[in-house]
Amino acid sequence: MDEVHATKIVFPGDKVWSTPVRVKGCYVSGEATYASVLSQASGDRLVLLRGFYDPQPGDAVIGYVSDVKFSGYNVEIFQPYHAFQSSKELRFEYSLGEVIIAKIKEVSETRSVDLEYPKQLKDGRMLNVEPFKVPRIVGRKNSMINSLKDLTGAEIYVGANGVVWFSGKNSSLVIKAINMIREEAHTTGLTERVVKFLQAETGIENYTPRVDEEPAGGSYSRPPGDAGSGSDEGRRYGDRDRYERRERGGDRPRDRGGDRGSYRPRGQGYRR
Amino acid sequence: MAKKKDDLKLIVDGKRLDGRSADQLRPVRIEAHVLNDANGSAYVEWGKNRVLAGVYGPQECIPKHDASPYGALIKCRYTMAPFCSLEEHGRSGPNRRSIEISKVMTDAFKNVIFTEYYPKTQIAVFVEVLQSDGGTRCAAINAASVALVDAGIPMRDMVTAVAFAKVDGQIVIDAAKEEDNFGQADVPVAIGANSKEILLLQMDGILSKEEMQQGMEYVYSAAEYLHRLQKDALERVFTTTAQEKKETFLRM
Repeated sequence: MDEVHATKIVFPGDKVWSTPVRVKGCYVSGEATYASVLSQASGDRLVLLRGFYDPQPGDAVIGYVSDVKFSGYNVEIFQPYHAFQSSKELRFEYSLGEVIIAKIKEVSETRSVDLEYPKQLKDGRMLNVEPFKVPRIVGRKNSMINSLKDLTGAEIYVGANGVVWFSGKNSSLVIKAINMIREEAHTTGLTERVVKFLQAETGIENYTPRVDEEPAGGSYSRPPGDAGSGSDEGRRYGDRDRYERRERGGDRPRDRGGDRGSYRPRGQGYRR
Repeated sequence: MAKKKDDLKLIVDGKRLDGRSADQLRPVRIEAHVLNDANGSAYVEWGKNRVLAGVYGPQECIPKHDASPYGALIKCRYTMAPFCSLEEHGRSGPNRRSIEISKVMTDAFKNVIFTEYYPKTQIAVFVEVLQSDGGTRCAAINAASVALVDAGIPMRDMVTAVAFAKVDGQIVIDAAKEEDNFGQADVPVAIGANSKEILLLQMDGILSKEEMQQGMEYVYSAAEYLHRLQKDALERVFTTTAQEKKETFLRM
């Protein structure tokens, strides 16, 4: 726990850097960067301690089919965003309540999510975790998730939306380990402690966490849109802001939103 | 405002009814992350005030026709528990006063929350006053601010609130119930903790320009102290162990 004190916790409105840096959890005002969510700052890195999921094209998400329509399926992804899997070019049919993992194809301006490449997950359990803790569950170069899989023998999928799906005999141990990661997500040396815990529980000796050199190519176990380990890759969290700027056409004054200045008639569609 | 009894002196020898000096706050204690199911929560003890705040969202906006494609809707709900004081409160649902406070809280937080990040959603902020002794709207705003940060809602700044009052012709900070009821003016103020922007300023009573300036000076120095307390409460979430958290809960 000593490392927690070595880094500085920053609060919304605190100045993080004196130079403008566009990363997730920050905003730029004038020439400086300020925190917008509770984070841990150490040097030029910023690790979020709180936050919500921002859907990004390419992310793998897990959810269940909540509605079957003629044109496709509504998928409940436990986020305030509406997710839809079109049945076009789909070789399978799904029915209500079936759990699928799919990639995000497109995110609209109002954060409606279109999915692609769905795959059904059968005979498992779902666990909802905070989406900002997903990078810790996956670990640096998949080390944490590989340890969980190897030591429990479970099949595990992690969605970027914070849904962990797993199947196997040792599911109670998986839940225990994931809850341990959730509770200690802000600490360092977590993989070693989780491995130690799992070794003590299972009696497996001489295990060293396996790392994947290839980043997430085709594998669902790590959200492709994600940079991997949260604590080690803080700076890579720039995707949302890039998306934001592209969609909004540069750094325009931000007060055009809200409940004023709506020059378009309401209910006439928002897409340009 | 109730009639002041002639023999009631609210300030004697520079000391107030509870022994405070003019620029002294009541003892304040803030705890963050006290509810399990809320996205963020906070508990504030401010003198005899007890306030609990919970934040849910961004979540699906209900009713759906309220949803804005331009950003999240902030819905603050301030309520007083029926048992919170000796007066009639909360027994028959929201009243004029609690609707007003909910509205001014919403307006204060609208200025600091990045609502445009979450279109077509709502952010629900519930504040329940469990025990009241004057100054609950400021305690409520402080609690809601901590709860919003605990929930991870992106904000430009934290919000700190404190009231000043004119009691027996003298400007004092943080009026308690008697001072509020029998004083000449009461001014709750919410400011951005870092930006020092005024996000809420209500005035009940009459003040001169000089009195206003004096009061605002008190507010700015008190807000700095309160901001520190808010940050400490949030920091403790990560530095205390599960056992310590349990003990904190039992002390409440």
